[in-house]
Amino acid sequence: MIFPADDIGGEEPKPTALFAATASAASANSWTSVNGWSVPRVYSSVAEEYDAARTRAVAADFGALVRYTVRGEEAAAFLARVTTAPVANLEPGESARGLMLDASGAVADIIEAARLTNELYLLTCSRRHARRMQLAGRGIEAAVEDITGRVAALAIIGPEAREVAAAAGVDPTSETLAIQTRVRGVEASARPIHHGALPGVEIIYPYDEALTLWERLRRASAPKPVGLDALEILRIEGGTPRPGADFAPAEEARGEKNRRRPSELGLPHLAPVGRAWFNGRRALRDGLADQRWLAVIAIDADACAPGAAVFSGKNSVGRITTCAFSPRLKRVVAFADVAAGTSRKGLEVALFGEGGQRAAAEPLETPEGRLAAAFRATEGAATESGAPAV
Amino acid sequence: MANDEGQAPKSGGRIEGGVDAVVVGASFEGLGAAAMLGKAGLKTILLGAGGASLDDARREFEPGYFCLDGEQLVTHLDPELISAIELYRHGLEFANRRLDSVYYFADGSAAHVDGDPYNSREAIAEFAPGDAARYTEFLELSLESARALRPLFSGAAAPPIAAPLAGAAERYLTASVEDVVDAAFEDERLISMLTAEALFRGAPRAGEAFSFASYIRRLAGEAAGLQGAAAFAKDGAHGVRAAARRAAQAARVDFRPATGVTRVLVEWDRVAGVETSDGGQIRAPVVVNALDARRAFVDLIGPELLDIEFQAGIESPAPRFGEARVHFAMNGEPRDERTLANMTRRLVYAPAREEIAHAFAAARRGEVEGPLIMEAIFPSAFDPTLAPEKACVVSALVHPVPFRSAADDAFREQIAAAARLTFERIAPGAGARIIATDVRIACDEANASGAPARAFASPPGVIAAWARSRKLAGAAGIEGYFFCGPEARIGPGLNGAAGRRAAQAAIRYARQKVHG
Repeated sequence: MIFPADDIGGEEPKPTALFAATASAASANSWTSVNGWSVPRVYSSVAEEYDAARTRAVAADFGALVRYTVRGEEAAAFLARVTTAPVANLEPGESARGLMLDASGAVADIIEAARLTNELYLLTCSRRHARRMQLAGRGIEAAVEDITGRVAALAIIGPEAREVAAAAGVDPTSETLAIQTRVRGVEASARPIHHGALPGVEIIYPYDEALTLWERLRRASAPKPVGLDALEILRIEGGTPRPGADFAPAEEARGEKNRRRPSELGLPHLAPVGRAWFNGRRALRDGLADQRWLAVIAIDADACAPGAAVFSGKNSVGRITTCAFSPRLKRVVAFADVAAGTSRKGLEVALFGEGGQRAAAEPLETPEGRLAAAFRATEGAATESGAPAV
Repeated sequence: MANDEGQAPKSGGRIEGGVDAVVVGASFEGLGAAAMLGKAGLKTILLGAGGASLDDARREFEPGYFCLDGEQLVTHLDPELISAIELYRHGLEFANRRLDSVYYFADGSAAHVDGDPYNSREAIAEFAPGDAARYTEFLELSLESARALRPLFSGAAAPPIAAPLAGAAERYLTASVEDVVDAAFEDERLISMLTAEALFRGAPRAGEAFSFASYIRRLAGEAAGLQGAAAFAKDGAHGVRAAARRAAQAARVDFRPATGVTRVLVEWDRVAGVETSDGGQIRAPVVVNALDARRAFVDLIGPELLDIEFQAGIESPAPRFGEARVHFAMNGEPRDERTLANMTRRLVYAPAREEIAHAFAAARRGEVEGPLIMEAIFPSAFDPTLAPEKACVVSALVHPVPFRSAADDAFREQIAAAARLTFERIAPGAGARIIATDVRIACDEANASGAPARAFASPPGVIAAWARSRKLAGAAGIEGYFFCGPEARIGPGLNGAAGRRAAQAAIRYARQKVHG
């Protein structure tokens, strides 16, 4: 569940279903626009929100993420075509992460597919894919509907997320399965999710009842609301790249050198070419060696900025794409887009505004990185990949 | 869903093995591909009829009057295919190996141009003396560019072109017809002649970028060994197809015209054979498909096994223009001396630029208004048995007409009227001798062949067609699957290069499989 890059240059953002609640809680009054929706960057303090997420549980408005329902006899075939998620193997209630690739194997998005019933799936994307959905549906018996903005999406994230949800009347009976439930007469679907390394529960329910559940949650256990900035630190620590910020999605990437394949983003485990057919799989099968490596690094500094140059010895090997100060590590954590084969040792980052000073940096082990390493080990591809094994 | 991997055949069907290659569709491309595969030593089965009957070269459209369906002239027969399957040895014959062209203009004048384009300078010098020097320079550059770009017109990668020619070749490929001819010439008749040749049978209009490339393609073609020439094959297109069929038979290809294909079997990104209409399976590591792209990929493989972008490329927008074949039965020969002298030549009506603009505007509205660009021949002048004694048959291609996947009598009558009006510009007074008119449009060709009507629409511009052909040649990344349907061809006319290229790729693939 990853937010895409902000679209602050776009039109006036619209209020999400939970806007009234988030606006009243956002004392910092710091907002941004994501997919055309208003999203709070900070409610009160980034450090406090981050800390609450890591130690207890926080509540987040996920209304800016794009949702599609896919219904029909061939809904699974449709999703198996559009995404790399192992949709055919999902039982009702199960979810799986995956990627959307174009025919050349370049990543268009990071997605999550959940099977709600036998012939109904929920697809969560970071961005809209109307054209892709329309093209992919030709010749396949599946009805795709964009329900973004017609539902409220409330996420509870943190080690105590399940308890907090249960206190509000949403009892996720299973750690792995989604449930359909009623909370004070409100139909809701609750399912387990992850944000970065943290577990969570996402509740999706009707737009008109948005405030009912939020209020019940606030009264039952009062989880701290969390804004985009704190979520961003958790995301980088988790090792999941952000479309539009850490890489250009396939539709927007200009030129082959700006397109990124799953292994270049550190996500080979989300597009296993040996498992089943999906869009772009043949290109991955026949693909060239990785040219880039999207590394997660920790920088010995208090601040950094996207665009900062990354050096290996004397050579400039790439740039920072996203970064944030990690209260836990007391250092900046960042994604760095560097040349494949860059040595893990001797990395430095040129800091802006500090007289051209360079700060030492080192690759950071992340949960996503561990998954990728395990996958590469089983695929026997560790030595072939441009990214060094973690 | 057309394809379930590894599904067993229907009950009663049998599984046939020991086959090296299956070719689907007996079009000229399919026949050529099958012949090459068989000649390379692969045990090959050709499935499906894939076109009008190979046995009926002629069709009686009026009692005593016969026409030859299909392409009326050969202008682009792939020399490599001719050589590879020895088409001449298998009966390819030309009734006329080099037809001169006679261009008729809106002002009533005409110009006789030699069938060898290189010799056309003399005719141009005669009727457009002010442009003669410029035409000579233009012709040399055009012919050289055409020669250099020949691989591109057969679907290969764009060849590198040496420096002195590179600029001209690039301009000819990218410019519009208007840009090239208006900048080069002043004589309106010469401009009309080149414009008619460039726009004939293609979808682009004179002002569209890349539209001039089809003229260069026309010059790159080869007929009976001569670049840029037009030839009349004995028995027309049927004669050429029959030679290809004999070549395939000689190569021990197993013909099964009554057996259709319901699925192409794909197992883990690799073709595994086909499922046939009788419920059986033929297992083969190589399948060459000569059907149209929609059937070859979406229907027979299934969208769920195709990349989304690949499928989107197949399902292109509805075509705008088509062409019509019109056959006139004339109860006597033309009375005017000029037409009588030109009955064994290729007769082209080259409309004035305002007439062309008018015809294209009408076609965009869905109507047909003459005069149109017309290429007419008298097949009965080459084969007197096509018409009763002292009578004759005229076969003409007219362009542009709106594309329709179905047609009513009123539409056919519009085409017939426009064709008669245009033919009057070629042979004044001949209309009085026309006793029957046969109009054949895309839906008729579709009914005869079983292919969709859009396969017979005017093809897109050369560069667009080349890009599409290159994309489809990859066959969606399915190993062992090779495509040579209509969308693999670049431009109109009997060609064979797509079939030849598909067969060559299939043979390379099969040998790699055998030899690791």
